[in-house]
Amino acid sequence: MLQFPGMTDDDIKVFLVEADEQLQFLEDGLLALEQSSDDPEVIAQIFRAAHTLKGSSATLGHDKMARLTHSMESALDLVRKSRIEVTSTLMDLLFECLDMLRILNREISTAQDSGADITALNERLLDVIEGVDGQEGAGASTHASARASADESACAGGLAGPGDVKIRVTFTKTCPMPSVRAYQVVDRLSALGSIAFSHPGMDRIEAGDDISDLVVVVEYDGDALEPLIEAARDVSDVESACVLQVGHVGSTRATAAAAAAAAAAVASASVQGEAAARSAAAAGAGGTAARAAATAVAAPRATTVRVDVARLDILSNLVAELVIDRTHLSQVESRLAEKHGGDEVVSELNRTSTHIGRLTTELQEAINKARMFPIDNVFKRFPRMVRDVAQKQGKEVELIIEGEDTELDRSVSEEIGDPLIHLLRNAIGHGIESPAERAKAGKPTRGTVRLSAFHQENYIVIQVADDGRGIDPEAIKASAVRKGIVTEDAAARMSDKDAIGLVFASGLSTAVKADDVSGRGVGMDIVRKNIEKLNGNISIDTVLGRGSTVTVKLPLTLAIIRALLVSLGERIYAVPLNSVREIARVELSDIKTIGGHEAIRLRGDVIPLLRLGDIFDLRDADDSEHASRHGQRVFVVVAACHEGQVGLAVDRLVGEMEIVIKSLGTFVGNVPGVSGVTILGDGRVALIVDVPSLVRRVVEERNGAGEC
Amino acid sequence: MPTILVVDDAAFMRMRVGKLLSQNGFQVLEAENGLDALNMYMQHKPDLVLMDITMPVMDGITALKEIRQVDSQAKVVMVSAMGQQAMVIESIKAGAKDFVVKPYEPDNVMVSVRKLIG
Amino acid sequence: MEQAIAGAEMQLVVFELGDESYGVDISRVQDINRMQEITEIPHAPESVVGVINLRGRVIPVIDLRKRFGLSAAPNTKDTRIVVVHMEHNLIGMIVDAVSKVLRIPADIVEPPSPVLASIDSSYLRGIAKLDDNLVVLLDLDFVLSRHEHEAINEVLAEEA
Repeated sequence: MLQFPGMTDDDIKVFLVEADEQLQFLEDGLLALEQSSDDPEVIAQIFRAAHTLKGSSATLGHDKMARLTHSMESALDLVRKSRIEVTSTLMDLLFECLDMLRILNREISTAQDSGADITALNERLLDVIEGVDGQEGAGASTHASARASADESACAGGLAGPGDVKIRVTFTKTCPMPSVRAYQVVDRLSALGSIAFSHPGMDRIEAGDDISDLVVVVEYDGDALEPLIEAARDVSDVESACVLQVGHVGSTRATAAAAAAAAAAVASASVQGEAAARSAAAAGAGGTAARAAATAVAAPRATTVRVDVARLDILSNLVAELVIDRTHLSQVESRLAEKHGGDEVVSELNRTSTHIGRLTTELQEAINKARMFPIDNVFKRFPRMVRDVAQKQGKEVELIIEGEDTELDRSVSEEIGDPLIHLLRNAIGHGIESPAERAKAGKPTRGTVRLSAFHQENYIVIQVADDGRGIDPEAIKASAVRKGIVTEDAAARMSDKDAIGLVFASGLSTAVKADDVSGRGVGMDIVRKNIEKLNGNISIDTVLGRGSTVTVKLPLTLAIIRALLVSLGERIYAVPLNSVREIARVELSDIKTIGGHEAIRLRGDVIPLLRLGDIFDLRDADDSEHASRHGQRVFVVVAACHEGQVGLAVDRLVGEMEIVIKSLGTFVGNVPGVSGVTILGDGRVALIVDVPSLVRRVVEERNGAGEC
Repeated sequence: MPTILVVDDAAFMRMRVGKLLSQNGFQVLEAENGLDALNMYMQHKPDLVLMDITMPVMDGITALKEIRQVDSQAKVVMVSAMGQQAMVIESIKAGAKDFVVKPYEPDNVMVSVRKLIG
Repeated sequence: MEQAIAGAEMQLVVFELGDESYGVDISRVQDINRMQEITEIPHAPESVVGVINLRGRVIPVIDLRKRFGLSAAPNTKDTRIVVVHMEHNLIGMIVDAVSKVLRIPADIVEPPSPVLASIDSSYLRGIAKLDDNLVVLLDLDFVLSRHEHEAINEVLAEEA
């Protein structure tokens, strides 16, 4: 039975939920790293996951997980700094570590020791790490050698000039980062006098070398030495601080000071002793709770529950109503506070209302999130299916999946699977040619099917593209005429594009299947109907001999994105985080006017500056502009899409949150520069800034101006 | 009641530190990344910030610098993992008042906190 | 009264705009709200004031005074947003006040007469003559679809 002293049931649950997430990050990251071994984003993701697991497991008290993740982190740090290369051996090792972490995580969830031993894995990681350190001769010096050299220099450095005070500081054995403590000591001493010398040197201290004590010579012109000693002792984990030598100061005083310091050091040690006793007592008290927690999680956890989307809809609506009432409650409360300010009942109401407010927001976020599903859940069954279908048909097909983390509403994701299976089967069966045929056409024998998903404004777009034979419009026309779908006359007048569109007509695809001439097969009309049922649309682009791309566009009435909320005057806008490059604070004097347009310069790039109030022509735009010009500096959110970037001047950064994209609806229709709206936690509606359209607008406008 | 802003991307760590601090009579605010922390700081002006270093969106050192821009008196204690010496030193240069190391001893955290806002 | 009960009845939500009372069929009314914060929508047709959050749904709000060409009036504590169904959409209309829910016999409704109402008679479905006043019955579909005419006119005006 595993126990985690001091941890409650809830603590362990939170740990497990988060560990699951981090393990998933780790797995996704490792898979991605295998594909592109030098992507710094990916490496950073893996590193962070290992780092977070290390911190949490050490705090929880699961030693094996803490040790393994610590070694992983050290190895990954070297990868991050390009000091070791990502080889297949390293990948294998990291995957083994991941598997081990899953076992260890299960130990925690079941409260049972699995008997798994991390020693071998840990050794292999250490070999990787030490391999590098050994080569570069940058190994951390041991405590012993550091101590020896400090002593040496303490003796040798007897050349303290007049006014110089030589101080020795030692750190406790448990001090976690002595070099940082040493830095703090030097930092505090430097406020009292200038630092003439230190051992170890500042370069070693700043490099974070492992040290055990510190000798500093301070040029000091004060009379009393106590401030120096106190400054050093004020830093945590300092065991002792004493004066070794004083330039011109009389030896009596120096000795007195040293004695005082020694006494103080003893005092501080006893304080630490008490602290340790207290923490031991606390651990004992927590023991019962930990046992209870361990029993509670002993049963293997059910990780998912299927929920009817209709129930989620009910929940969403209920929470939305709660949000409104919450807003009313706080309004009533502030009216009450105006009337009976200071009354205890009113302040109690205030506390409760604030708490309800926070809970409501959390509840709303949780429900919104529960509705969303990465499309990966749909995509992940395809690689296997594609392989099987291809094999059966004697074709060589590589499936490339992109954008699998794109999120979509659950109701949509449940409906989209079957249509996509149709599209993939068709791409393999009728698009991709046999290896022999491909060779004859001068193509690689292995065909490619690319399945990709991405968000585009209010839509999720899913594409199935193949590099196969494409569709022959004439064959489609002939088939449609035979089937009586169009007359011969109409077919003759029909453009190629319209002819290709006939693929989706009812009744055609069956005929096509029979003679199989068009490169597209069964069920395209059914696919189309299913997509339309979801308020989406489907289209096909094809080049004869080169391949076809089917594009499915589905609305995301409930899409959730992460957004940066910014305010301008009274208004709050949401900027999708995926288009936020950075946030800069810019001096007003750095805003230049170029050709009548404002711009800022950021690290050599000239970035057009936009003021949302101007763009949206909103009535009190002047006020907000005044506000943002009032201060000395403004926040500029640099937002970009593949066509370029713009800076948005804002008054304030409100925060980052997940928002639910809502359409403005058919009554209002499309609004330039706005991709939708979202409801904020306080019930207000905020506009979502459509970055691509703003960028396009700027590009057009400023190019136009340039030509004039 | 003095207010402390706890910044960490791991909810587990926030909960642990949060509990410790509230048991010791502090009001606790939470933020899950540096940007979040910056905004919380501007809104609530907490008496102290406990700031994790490695976080997505905006890391702790950047957030520290931003907060010190807004309030040069800001008291920020960095929470670091073993092996982040160089980063902790960078933070101290940037004005962090102290640091604690994960996995922390509750008493070490309280000593550090009480030193700054006794 | 006997006749009224026997004959078809209409239930109306009656609201005030300027000096007149208007009625809409109660089955079209989803909700009556106090004035709340409205988020403006840039470049929207003029009578579309913006959008509000109605229990998690984003709903466009039109200023009925503007739509009818009446002079603007400041909001008061009586100002309401009447949310009505329009095909699959909900649309909010700002009115001066909502006065009552009225049950009337269908046969007291007379065809619209331009003389009796101060707004464009094409918005009207009829006029109910009551003992103490007149209630103008709005043709909601027309009132709301006029948005499109407005938009089209704007486009035409820009192109001209």
